[in-house]
Amino acid sequence: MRIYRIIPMLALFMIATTVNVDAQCKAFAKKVCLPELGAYTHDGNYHAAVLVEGEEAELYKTFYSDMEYRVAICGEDKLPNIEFRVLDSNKNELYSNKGANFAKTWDFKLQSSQQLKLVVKVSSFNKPGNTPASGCVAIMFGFKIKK
Amino acid sequence: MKIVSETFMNSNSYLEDNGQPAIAAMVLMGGWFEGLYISTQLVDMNDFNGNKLVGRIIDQKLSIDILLSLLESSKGNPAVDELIIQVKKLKVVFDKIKLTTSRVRPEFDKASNTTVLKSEVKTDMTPAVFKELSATVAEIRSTFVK
Repeated sequence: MRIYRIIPMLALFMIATTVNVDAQCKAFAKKVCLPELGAYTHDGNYHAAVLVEGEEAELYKTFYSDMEYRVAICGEDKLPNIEFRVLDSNKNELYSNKGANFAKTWDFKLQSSQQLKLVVKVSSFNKPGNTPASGCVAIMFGFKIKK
Repeated sequence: MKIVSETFMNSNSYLEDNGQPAIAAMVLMGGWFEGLYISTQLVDMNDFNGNKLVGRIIDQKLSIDILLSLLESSKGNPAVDELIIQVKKLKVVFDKIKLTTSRVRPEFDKASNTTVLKSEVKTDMTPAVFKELSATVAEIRSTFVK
């Protein structure tokens, strides 16, 4: 049974907030996922939770034109590949990291501001009978102002 | 800019972590309102059409429902309940602005290794609605700073 967690987010000018971050996972997000943002400025939000194989999480965020973004999605090593998709408000898929060998980051920019939905899924090891793997999954956003 | 942004955001994160989500939400909302207030005050009405700052103010329409959800998650706190009332007043004005976005077309730019999400947006915000928005923001802000 898939569990959907909807994490409402607010991105304003350049500020946002978080909802329910597990403390242990926040440490993981800071240590492992934050460096993946590279030259992009972290938006200050730590979206991280313990997910189980096969579990999905959804996240909504507003992105603005004239800014460049990077999303970084990291899972603990004990987890299988983390798949993420980006959808627009009409549920059209704009990107999937499945076609990019489950890449951890995606850089993008928008011609016009809009709200997008990220769907993050922990894939499965496909080992029935084993205890499903679980671990921290972190979602981080970075931005820079378009030159 | 980077230092100020990160300091603000890390403070917000600290409040969340330390069991003060209502205060975190109020601090965030206060910052958002102040930014919106300053922006609306800066707009030169003689340069309204095609004004980039006006465009960015209109963009805040995309976030107001999420802002309300954030506040509603701390409903029951008297200060938050009051803020919800104020934000709903602002939402009434934002709801008068129509935003229509065309189909989003992702295009990968090899040179920058970045995907450009192409789309066009149309809005029907008039100077009259903008003035109403600006006045509403100023009125709500004045209740905060009393």
